[in-house]
Amino acid sequence: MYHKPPTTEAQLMTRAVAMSGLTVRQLAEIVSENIPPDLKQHKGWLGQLVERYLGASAHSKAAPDFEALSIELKTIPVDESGTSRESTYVCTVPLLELANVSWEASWVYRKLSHVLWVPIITPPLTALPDRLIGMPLLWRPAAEEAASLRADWQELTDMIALGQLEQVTAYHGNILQIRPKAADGRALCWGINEEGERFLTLPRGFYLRSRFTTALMQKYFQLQK
Amino acid sequence: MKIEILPPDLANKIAAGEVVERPASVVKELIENSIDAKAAHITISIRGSGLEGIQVTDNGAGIDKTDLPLALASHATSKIKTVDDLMCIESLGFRGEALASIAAVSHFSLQSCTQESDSGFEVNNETKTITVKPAAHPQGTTVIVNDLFYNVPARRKFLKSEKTEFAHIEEVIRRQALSTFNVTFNLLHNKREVLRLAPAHTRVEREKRVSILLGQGFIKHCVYVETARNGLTLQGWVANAEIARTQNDRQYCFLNGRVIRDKLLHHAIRQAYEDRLPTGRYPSVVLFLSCDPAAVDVNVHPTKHEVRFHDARLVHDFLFRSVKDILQHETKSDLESVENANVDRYQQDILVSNYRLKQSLEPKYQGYETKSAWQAVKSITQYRLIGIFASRYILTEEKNIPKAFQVETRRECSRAPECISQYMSSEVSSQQSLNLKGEGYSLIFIDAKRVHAKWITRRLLKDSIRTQPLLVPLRYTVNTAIMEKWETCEMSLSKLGVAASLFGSHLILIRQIPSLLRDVALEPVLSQCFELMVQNYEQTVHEKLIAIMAEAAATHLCNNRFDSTIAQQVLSEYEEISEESPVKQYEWQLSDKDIAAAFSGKK
Repeated sequence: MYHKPPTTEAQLMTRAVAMSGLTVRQLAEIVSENIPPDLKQHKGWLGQLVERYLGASAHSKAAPDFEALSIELKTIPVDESGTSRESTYVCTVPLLELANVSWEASWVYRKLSHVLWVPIITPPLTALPDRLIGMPLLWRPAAEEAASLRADWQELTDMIALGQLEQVTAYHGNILQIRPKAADGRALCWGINEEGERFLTLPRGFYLRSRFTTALMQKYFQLQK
Repeated sequence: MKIEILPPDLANKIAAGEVVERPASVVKELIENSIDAKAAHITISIRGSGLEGIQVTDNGAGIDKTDLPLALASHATSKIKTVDDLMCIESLGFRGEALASIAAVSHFSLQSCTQESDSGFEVNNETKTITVKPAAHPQGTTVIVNDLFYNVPARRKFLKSEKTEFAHIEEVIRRQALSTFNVTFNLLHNKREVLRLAPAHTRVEREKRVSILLGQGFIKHCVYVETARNGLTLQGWVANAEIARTQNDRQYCFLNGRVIRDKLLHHAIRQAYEDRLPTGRYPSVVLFLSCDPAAVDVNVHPTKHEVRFHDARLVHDFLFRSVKDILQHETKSDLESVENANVDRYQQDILVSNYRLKQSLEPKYQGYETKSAWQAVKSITQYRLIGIFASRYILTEEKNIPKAFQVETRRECSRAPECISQYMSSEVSSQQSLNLKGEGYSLIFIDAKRVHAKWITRRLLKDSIRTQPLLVPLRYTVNTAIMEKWETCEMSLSKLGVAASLFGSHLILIRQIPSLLRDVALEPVLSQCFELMVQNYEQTVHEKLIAIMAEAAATHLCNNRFDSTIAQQVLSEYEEISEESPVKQYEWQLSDKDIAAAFSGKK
């Protein structure tokens, strides 16, 4: 069963809610997908499964997953207490052409302005087919969240624009961090070094810290740690 | 070891180590003084690469006779007066350290004459006490520095060959001459004229001066840039890649007329060249940047080569964009008009984004005047929590308790005196206990579990039930009996805020519950509910379901950490329900006898 792209927010939510509580096995059966033995070789398989069920339209990086609704889909592995086990990838970090980029025009802003979070309940030692799809959460950043995202983005982008790319570590940023994102150490892209010259470096990605997504889940689902 | 304050001459020598590194540093300080004195003509005369003698003569404002003794004192300056001036420096110098430092490591003399004065005067450091002597001097100032580092042999050892030292002096003069086009410069080395620069006011004259200082090649291979955006202006010459350097020695950047070597600016310039330059090659530029003096901090390093911009990113991007554009449009002739057309839009963008940033950072205060919060506050003042007993009973007090609340003794409450005496014996309460027998006070003993159950029942009976989605929907397998009546079951549950849906033939997914049951173990409650729904057909099923849920929630409340916070919460619930109906069955007013028993028990 393949869904067409949802045309309204309500339609999307109905689908997302209907999927919640099912196991990965059950969902895969509905979508007629084979479950890979593990996710190490198939990163993003779970996300694609959910995308397919919900009828995500865009496959390009730039557009939001539900293009007509401008909603981005993020699956997020959490345990029963809502604790997120890993940081959440947002988008790649642009390393060139940074002059005069504004927050409102940034990828991070566009990606995070309207998100459908789909938690995947992943307690330790739970086999992939037995994991549960959690309740979806349609989210827009609240004023304070948006302000801290913006402040982080500004700090990190400033560092990169001023040539301090190599000094940016995962420790920078309050809720948004930058980490290398590459299949291996050989995939390189162009950046600007301290001297202002172009140089080859690892591609980077913006990630949301797990602390942030955990707080998000625990607040919405009223869970205590 | 004792800690002592250093004598001034030693302190000056230490400061000299920072400010006066080599003869060229002396030349720099003296020229800067001349420029700050608004001189139109500066003559620099060097002997023996500056080690033997440095003489700088200008026709500037001069120093008043009465100020002369202070000229050699450290931390004495005419350039700034207050801390506020430091925030907004427009002169080249301001530290009031240079002359004192130079005088600390050389034979020093200064002659000066102001416009108002009839004759010139001189001070020197030959005697311990500084005396001002008359001297013949036209308007302006001459500083003579002889035998530099004569008293710091260690420093002399670090100096390079005479040729190198003179090259450093030439470099200093090159930078100063580039930054002040309207000043005439004369440089003499061992009495031979090395450089003569006429004042340059027009662009042609300026380009001539640049070509004298940096060579014909530079001016041939460069484009002129002049642009302004957002309070920043940039003007100067940017050379193309053909005359790129292997060293970073041809990037002359000036900020508000000050020579600076700032990493940020170099970075922006290099980035603008992109792939036009191979790695390891450096561009040649002469660029004059100006901004509001208050937007930059020059008080970062004694040499003032480094600065800090308040909005580094803005400056960086402005410089990057300007240089990049000029390089891209190198061939276009109407370059400047293109630039100007973009100014307005760009400026607006910046203003808007700054404004938005400010707005979003402003804390949003939200009012707390919601009804429930107000009620909570009110009930805390009305009922004072005195004690908790057996994770279930609350002892509280109330003024002038109404007759309706005076109730019969109940079995559970027979342990009340025990509770009171336990409370009385705790140290915190010893003061409060005195009030207990005061006029108009009553002690009430409340069954928290019953109060909470009643409160929940009331809430669930109301139409608007607050619900809570479950992160992990509850999977519940049901039997055929329920399946047969599923539709009515689903209806009954949904009335209570429980969203349940069927998946397949026997699996029920519970995705939402009333938030009142948030922390309660759900499965046993649901089992009870389903059992009930199978057996009952009547209207009463709704109330019965509520009773099950209320009981479960109340049991949970009392079984888990029944502390003072929860007790307070129950007290406010108690108040809420007592507004509507008498709550006799949940409370017990203590008689004098009970209290007396409690006190006697303590004794």
